[in-house]
Amino acid sequence: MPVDVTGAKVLKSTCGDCHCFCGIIAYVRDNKILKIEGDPDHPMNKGVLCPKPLSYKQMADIPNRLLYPMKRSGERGENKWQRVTWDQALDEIGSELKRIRATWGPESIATKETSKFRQNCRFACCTISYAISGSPNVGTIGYTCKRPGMIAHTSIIGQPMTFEYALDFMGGDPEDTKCLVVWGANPVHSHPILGYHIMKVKQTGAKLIVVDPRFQELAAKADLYLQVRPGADCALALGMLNYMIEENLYNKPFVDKWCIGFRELKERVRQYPLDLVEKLTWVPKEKIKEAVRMYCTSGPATIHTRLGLDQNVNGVDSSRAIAMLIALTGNIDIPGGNVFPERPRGFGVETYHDVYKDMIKRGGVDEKKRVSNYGEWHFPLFSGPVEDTGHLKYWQPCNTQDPIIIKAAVEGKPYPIKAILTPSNLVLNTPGSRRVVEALKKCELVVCWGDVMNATARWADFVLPCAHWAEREDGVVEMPYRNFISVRKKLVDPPGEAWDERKFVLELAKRMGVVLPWSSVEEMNETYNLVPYSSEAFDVASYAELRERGFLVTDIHYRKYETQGFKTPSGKIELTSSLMERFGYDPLPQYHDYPDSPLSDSPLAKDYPLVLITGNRRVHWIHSEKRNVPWLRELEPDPELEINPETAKSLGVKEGDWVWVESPWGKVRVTARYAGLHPRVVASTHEWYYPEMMDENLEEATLGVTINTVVPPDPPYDPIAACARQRGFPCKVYKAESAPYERSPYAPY
Amino acid sequence: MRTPSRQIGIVVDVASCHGCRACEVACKQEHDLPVGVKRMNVITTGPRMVGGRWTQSWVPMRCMHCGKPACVEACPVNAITKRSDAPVLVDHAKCTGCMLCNEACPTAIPQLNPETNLIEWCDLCVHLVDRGELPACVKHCEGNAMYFGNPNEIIAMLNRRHGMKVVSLTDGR
Repeated sequence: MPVDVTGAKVLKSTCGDCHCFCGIIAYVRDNKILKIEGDPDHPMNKGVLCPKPLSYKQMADIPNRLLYPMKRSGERGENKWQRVTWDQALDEIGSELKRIRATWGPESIATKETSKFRQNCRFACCTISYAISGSPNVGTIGYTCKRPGMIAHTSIIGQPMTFEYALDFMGGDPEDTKCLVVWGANPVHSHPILGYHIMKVKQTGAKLIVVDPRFQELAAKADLYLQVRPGADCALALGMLNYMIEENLYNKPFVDKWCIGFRELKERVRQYPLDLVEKLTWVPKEKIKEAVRMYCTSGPATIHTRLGLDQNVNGVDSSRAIAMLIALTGNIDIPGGNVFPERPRGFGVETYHDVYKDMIKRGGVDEKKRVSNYGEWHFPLFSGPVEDTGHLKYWQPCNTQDPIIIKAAVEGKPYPIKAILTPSNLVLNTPGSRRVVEALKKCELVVCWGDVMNATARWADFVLPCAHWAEREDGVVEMPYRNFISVRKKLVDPPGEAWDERKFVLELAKRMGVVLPWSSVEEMNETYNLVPYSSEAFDVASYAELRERGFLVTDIHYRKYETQGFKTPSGKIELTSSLMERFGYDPLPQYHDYPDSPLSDSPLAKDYPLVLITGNRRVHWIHSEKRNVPWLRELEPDPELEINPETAKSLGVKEGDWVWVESPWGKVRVTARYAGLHPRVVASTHEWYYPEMMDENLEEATLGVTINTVVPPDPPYDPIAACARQRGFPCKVYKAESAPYERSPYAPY
Repeated sequence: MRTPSRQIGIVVDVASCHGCRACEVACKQEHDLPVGVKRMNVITTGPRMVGGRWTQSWVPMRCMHCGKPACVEACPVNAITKRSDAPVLVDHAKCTGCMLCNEACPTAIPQLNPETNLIEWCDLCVHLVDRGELPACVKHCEGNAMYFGNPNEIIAMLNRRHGMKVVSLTDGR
């Protein structure tokens, strides 16, 4: 029978299940969401939606939902809890923070942001670390997610570009782009609405080139597919640059007028002839030539990149080399090229930057003590004082890489971390999951907040219940680097005593005697993006007006550089980057292989003959969330390892069999799934855990299946952004004799 | 507005389906189906290496609303009817869950809902369609791959998109 929505209120809002921010229509009755559908009038998604919001009504009934503040009453991880009041929790957390700050110094207190509650969690973590504790340590998701690309773009072009063309919701036209390159990205799963817009471009007859070690969904649709060796993207891009220059396929008038350092770049890429690049990348050189010709001759062209590039030792340099492909062809800020959309006036990163700068001042933070740029660590462009980094400062309110926080907590070097406060599922999302547990055990205070009792909260001293996105008013939300903002409204009341996480932070600040510019969440919604920080004129008169309209898109303007120049110190595209040079890095990109790659003669590469890439997104999950939503779990009941069918056969493994994935750093048990991979490459999704199994066997339910148990937590990191090696490290796979459970409760019959 | 004689249906541009399965979940939400029961089921074929290239495709499988539905004949309690504009519909008030329709169906589409002991398959969301809305799967398709309307018109549009010669389905297939 169709779901009954008679008598329901019909409310429009913005989805909060990922970073796409699609428009939704919710049917709500008696404080219950009955149905969520796409809003056809919304410019972002035009009515389409992915499985996450379509199953959102089931979030109301998930079994491990947090309802009351809880305090640990047994040993850490023993799962014994005592219900406490918010007052007691806040008082005790406050006095513990004061004690730890007095004993170990403010820098011993760290927070870790998460993508989970989007920008609210960033506010929460920055406020707790900077303003409340006076600590410079806010763990970021940035080192694994887009910040390397943003650093690369800023160093060359002066600001981050969009990673795609001007989508039609931004004022572009799918017809504008004649060639689309999707590189190290799987937008169908990671940003489903971009997958939708990319399919629309493809349907106009545009060429599609996919560069990815995984034969993913868009690769199956591509005109040309380059199956690059994991981690060798930088070598491929440098080889493409070399071929492009040798064959005079680049846009000479644009380069002459707008680029500096072309001669030096030409010298550099001469080190990458296609014969060598074929060996380094496993991509046949004829295909590389075809890709360069297609990209250079069928423009306007766009290159869409994502985390596949970020999460390895060439994180920043891969993106630099690819940004140069864009620069040399002049596909910058033109219809159908990679663009710089302007945000609605009065909103956006410049405003946030002022907020965080203000918090750093309020807390008296010593930024020189940030753990990821102190002692043995040296990542000044990522973790240095924010004022030093030019336009990049706008993008880095949080700048401590969490593997470094975790290492400091375990080893006490360069100084000990004694308190971790986080809404993030750290145990699952940080390389080296077992080390994270060790770190949490060593801390004197662990506080987790969120909507569910997750794998990390199980190790906490205090667990605080927070509202999920449909249970609070978020104010202004935005998809990053776009000319688009919208308002997310409350649809239902939060369950039990769950609070908006910002209320928790504002109340904690009051306990600690810290004065913030806002006294309530409502006041934040109304002013956070507007007064008192921005001096710009506004495109709306007030929050109330924006709320009434629901969303705001401003016009897109192309070729802004013709009148304004680029935002680099020279005003030109700096192929030889002065920003990189100032911070002591190579002004041009260079490729480095990782030490135990299959091309090396490292003994590790012999004992562990396969290469593992982790972190493949699935559209029905958002990181560790949603595993206990029945309609979504049905789509993927168990964690999966993608494997070439022939490789599986040689290991005696069939699709669906349980296998062990083992690296020198750990092992996990997952199921095999056939995929179009290179015979030596296997690939895994990330942050899997069995929420329903945690009570009976925490080890099997979390560390036993989550792929970060296998990922190396230690260097080599990317030298600029400290990206850990989550994509491309040695492993072996063998058949497991049994499953980690007798019968999965969610398995479809 | 739709006229009663006009044929309706869902047509999938398989070349654009990328297997996100939003249609599956949209359908489950619209019809409130339990785990295990799918009126819409996206089948993955491959990966297969063909001529040195990987290939893979996705096909959303659902009731095809046949021109001469075998299920209608097979139903012992006359619970299944074919509407003049195409949908093959089951009357849940009459259905006994005997599954003879499943046996008769060439693609074994009808499924038993264990919570209600009744048969489930795609009803083209007639409750939405009859008031001018799109079926839930078509409304939410993230590949821009699903279309609702007159099948011949959609196929003509898709043939133009893919530069193929126009073939058409006979009405009421």
